[in-house]
Amino acid sequence: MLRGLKNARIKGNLLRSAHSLPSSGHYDVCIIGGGHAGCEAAAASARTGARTLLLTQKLETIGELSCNPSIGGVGKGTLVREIDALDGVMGRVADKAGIQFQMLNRSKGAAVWGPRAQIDRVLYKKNMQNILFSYPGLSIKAASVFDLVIEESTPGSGSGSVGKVTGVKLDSGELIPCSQFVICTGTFLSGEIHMGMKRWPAGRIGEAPSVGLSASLANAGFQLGRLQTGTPARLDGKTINFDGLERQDGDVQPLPFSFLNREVDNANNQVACFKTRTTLETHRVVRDNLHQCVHIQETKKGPRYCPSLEAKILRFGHKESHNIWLEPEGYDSDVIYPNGISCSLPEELQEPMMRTIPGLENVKMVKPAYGVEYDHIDPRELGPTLETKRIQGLFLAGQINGTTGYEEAGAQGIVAGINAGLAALQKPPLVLTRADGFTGVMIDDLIVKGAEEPYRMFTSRSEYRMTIRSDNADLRLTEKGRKAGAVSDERWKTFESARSTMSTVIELLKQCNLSPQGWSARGIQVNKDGGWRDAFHMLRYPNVTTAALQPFIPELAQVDPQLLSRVDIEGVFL
Amino acid sequence: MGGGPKSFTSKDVVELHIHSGRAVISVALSVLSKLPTFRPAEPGEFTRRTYLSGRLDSTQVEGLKDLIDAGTEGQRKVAVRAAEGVTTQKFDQLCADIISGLAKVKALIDFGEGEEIEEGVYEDAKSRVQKVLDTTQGYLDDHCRGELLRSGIRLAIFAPPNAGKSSLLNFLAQREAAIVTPIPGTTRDILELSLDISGLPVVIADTAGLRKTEDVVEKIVIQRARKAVESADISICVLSFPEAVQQQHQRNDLGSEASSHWRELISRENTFFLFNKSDLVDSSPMPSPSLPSDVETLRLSLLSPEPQHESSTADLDLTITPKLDAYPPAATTTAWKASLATGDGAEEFLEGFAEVLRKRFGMDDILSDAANPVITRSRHRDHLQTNKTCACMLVRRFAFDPLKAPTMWSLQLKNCVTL
Repeated sequence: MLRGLKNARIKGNLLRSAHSLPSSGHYDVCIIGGGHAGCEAAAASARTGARTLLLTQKLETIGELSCNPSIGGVGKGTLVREIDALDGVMGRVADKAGIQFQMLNRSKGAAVWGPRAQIDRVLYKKNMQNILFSYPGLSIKAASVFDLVIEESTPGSGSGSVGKVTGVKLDSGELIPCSQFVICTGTFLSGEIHMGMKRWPAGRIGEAPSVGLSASLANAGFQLGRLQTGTPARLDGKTINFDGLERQDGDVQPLPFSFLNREVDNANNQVACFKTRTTLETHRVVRDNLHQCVHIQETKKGPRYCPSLEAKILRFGHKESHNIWLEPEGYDSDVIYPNGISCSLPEELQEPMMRTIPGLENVKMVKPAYGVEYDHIDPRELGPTLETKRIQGLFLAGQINGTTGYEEAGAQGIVAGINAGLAALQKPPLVLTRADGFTGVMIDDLIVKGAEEPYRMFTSRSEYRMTIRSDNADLRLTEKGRKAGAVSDERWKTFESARSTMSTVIELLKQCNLSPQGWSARGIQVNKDGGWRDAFHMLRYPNVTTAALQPFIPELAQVDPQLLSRVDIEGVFL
Repeated sequence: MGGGPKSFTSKDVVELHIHSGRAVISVALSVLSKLPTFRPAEPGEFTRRTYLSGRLDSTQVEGLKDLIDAGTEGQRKVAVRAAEGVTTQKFDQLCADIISGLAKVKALIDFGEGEEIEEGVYEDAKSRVQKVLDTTQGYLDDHCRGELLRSGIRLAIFAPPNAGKSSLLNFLAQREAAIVTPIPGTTRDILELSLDISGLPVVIADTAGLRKTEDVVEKIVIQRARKAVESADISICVLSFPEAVQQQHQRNDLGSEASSHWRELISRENTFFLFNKSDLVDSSPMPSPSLPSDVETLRLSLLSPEPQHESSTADLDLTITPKLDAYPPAATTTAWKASLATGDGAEEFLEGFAEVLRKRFGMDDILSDAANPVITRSRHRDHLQTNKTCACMLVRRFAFDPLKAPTMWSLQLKNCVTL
């Protein structure tokens, strides 16, 4: 077995033997893991023009949503839009697979809007796989990575790193040579599942963990930490009584995630979610059985903003009930995802526990809840391109860096993928700063502060919340992505057209300059201070929008209303 | 020898206790100066080290300086409390409230929808900001007590010619600080005198007798005197008791030309009256026994009708008023009768006036926290004023509801309370 730095001679032998194995061609970049980070990284690297290979254990799990069947939220939704602005895939797939759309914080101002969608799991996977399987420049292979091949740096070479990756060895023995690697293994790194007192190695239920890789990373000198997360049971919707539960429907006119879409596929066919709550009885069952939950007893850090039911009961003991959202998993499925009760009780206790919940008196469990523990790397080992400082050519993205959430993973994946591709082509890197967007904020937080607990994005993490909004992600990032060569022609065309229309509209508005009396004459009251104001400035006033201005600026009627609403927002914040 | 962390500067300290003879000190210092790494400390250097080590913060260092400079008991007391860190505690509390409000608003933005937030978070944040605003306003509304205490209360004495104003000055200073002659117009210049009245530092400006005059030099002097009275924090009007009674009785409303000058300077809230020469009353031929000899009645008759009050400091009143605002004299005496020549009633006047000062400048109960002025320097006032402006805007925004705006303001609030 190869292990890290000590085996240059043996590695030489292997390489010779690798050339005699059937190899599918030479690749520049290899992505390990087909989760959210992996999918973005694979697509991004391919877009830069590097020959990219995506390695994943099972092809059919590409695009799997491990936990909550939803994408977006406050802060997270902005990340999805940023991924899309860099020509990523998550936003487009969410628009196709979304079955209920909601804009969170709608009343609180555009700086904190959070687009969110419930997702049909099957549709998501299908669309993601469709896109990736035919992505130009991208090959996909089912395989399990066993080890990394690292070439020691010659001392004094000035690279600052300890070594350089030159290939990966698969479980099958095959060796794949590459110059850049992006590891996106999510919760699979020495993953272990906890249910009650039982624990067994797995990355996701029913799927083997990645053990060899963990050891290789440790051998290469990386410090590994251990984090926890969990997921709730899945329920049979046919056994749930929805009567009397609070209902939530989607937005009537959903705003798509992707800048390329004018609408979402299922706008007129949205599903409803229902709300219920735990009871004192539920809490009693959990408390009485805490001794049977190995997950909660250990001191590993769990996600603070997505606590398990046990954690909620322990931390907020005085609360008599906790909210649960019952979310449908898809059009062709009866499965319901109960958002808010992830736990790791013994399997046999889970159903009785849930039957204490209103609406779930007769519920049948389809899959049990469980906790999962996994290795992660200290992200301070990374640079702003997500390349490790220690090993050249090795990039890490996603939950392996200590984050939690699909969106956080995807955003890291796209940055790592673009940079891996650029590095392979020996082009300058793409670095996103805190001022560029939440992606930049997240990466900066991770590489500077590390991740003591699973890192989740929310708007308060940024000091520039008012300027890095979900509506202007393309204005912030698409051009940067284009310059780096990571943005396709189709997107660039759409973007340029939107941007130039918006600036034309803004110019138009600025030319309409009136005195306070002029504005009053048109029905808009202004302070009579003698100062002239142009129409763009007027957008700051409550209830003044481009729609209201149309009567006296008739050219506005020709403009796409979606772009007009964007101008409205710019007017408020600029 | 003060060990590591327990010494004043939190560094190791050696103290030499020696006899204070000049030769002894001189040789000690010269020996020390020959040691290789020794040098004399710069002014305030020990305190600077303490500040840099974090043991004292800026309000405490300021308090220390005020303590060293204290001239009166009142100044000392306030300085001691600041040096002990009482001011720090108050600002820390403000900070804590702001941060708590800030945290709640942020939680509402990021988790208010779709996740679970308890009831009442919004109201709690709102009420905290209101509390910050009210507290800040309270500190600002202290009538500049703290600053006045450090710099001294400005007292101006004005009077018609020869009413006995310089005598009053001399009495207060208990020495002949001003020249007293019967010829009106003697006090040409304005004298300034610093006094300690009952623990409070008072700076007194004497002024020329205010009367209409053709003498050009005197006109200038009178103008300056008027300025002094207007810029004073409190003033005393000295009047001749017999003349006042007579004019009151004769109902000419003291409307003689001579009176117009000084009458203009009377302020309902800030002027106190001393009716001098009470010893001369009995001897003058007064017709009837029902003379209005009550000083309060006299005083009231002298006051012009209620002046227009400035509108009370509304939300957006951002001006700093260095002088005393309208402050209702809480049932304290505002007029006294005495004879400075004989001394009769003079002590009562002094005690009464001292009490007025104490009440007015909140020194009544110097030990109680409530009376202790928080602001002792304009630096504090500036910061708190900006703080208050932000808090005001914030409170108005809350009514409006866009939650993003309060976050911006909250951030500013936090930055404002820099100590």
